[in-house]
Amino acid sequence: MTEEIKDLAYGTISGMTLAPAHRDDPPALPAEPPAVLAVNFNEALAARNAAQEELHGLRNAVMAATARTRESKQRLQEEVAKFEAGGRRYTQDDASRDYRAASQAERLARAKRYGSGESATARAYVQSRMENGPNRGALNQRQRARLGFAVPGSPAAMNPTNQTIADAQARAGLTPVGKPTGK
Amino acid sequence: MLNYSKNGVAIMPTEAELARWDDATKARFAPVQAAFEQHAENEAAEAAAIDALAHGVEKLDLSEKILAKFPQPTFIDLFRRSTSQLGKF
Repeated sequence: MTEEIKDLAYGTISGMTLAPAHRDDPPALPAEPPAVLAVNFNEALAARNAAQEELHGLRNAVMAATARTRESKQRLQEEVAKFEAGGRRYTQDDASRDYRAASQAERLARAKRYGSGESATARAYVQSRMENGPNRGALNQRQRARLGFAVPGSPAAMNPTNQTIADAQARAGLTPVGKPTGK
Repeated sequence: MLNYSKNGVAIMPTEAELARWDDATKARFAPVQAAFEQHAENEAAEAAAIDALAHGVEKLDLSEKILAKFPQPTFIDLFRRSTSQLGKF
């Protein structure tokens, strides 16, 4: 078992050793010490737990580094905007305009990805939420009509497929109402 | 003025472009340059942190493989271990 663990740690294969180039040379040693070595279950468990803790810290470090990068990117964008404003002073109006342009670009990008309010995707999403979700009925009839849904009393709601009763019966293989059967 | 990459990030002017600028423009550009350098440094630090995270994941994977090689104590083992201490009290 110890051999297997060493193999795992060193990335070697049991029984295989590097032959010395010359009989007087010392045998080759691994380039770097193994990351984890354990001789019993408790040690292995402790090493695993330590690795988990370390990973937790590394995740936090990545999150912090990402936040710093985001801040510095924003700072860089501000500085570039100030520079591009030319020799004149960068006013609150400029900052406001830049902010609005950036947020508009972000909205457009998000709309492109998830479907904007004008899109069929968004409308279908709203419709399914309004009809089946916990907030069903949250839109009033005026809003429903404005979004293009059928509202009670509208011709579309009365006859959504715009077909006659006779058409529907004929499609279903039934005898149309009021038509002689031929018997 | 600055050039922009496809994703809208400003690109540092080249040495030749900088040489054409007058002193006033160069002075105005100093804070932008500082922000550029700071951002590059932060991006490098982020990349290093991500590399370290990948290394940590590998280490955890290895330690879990080693742990799996050892026979895990069964419930009976734990029970025996706990009851063997009872005689001391």
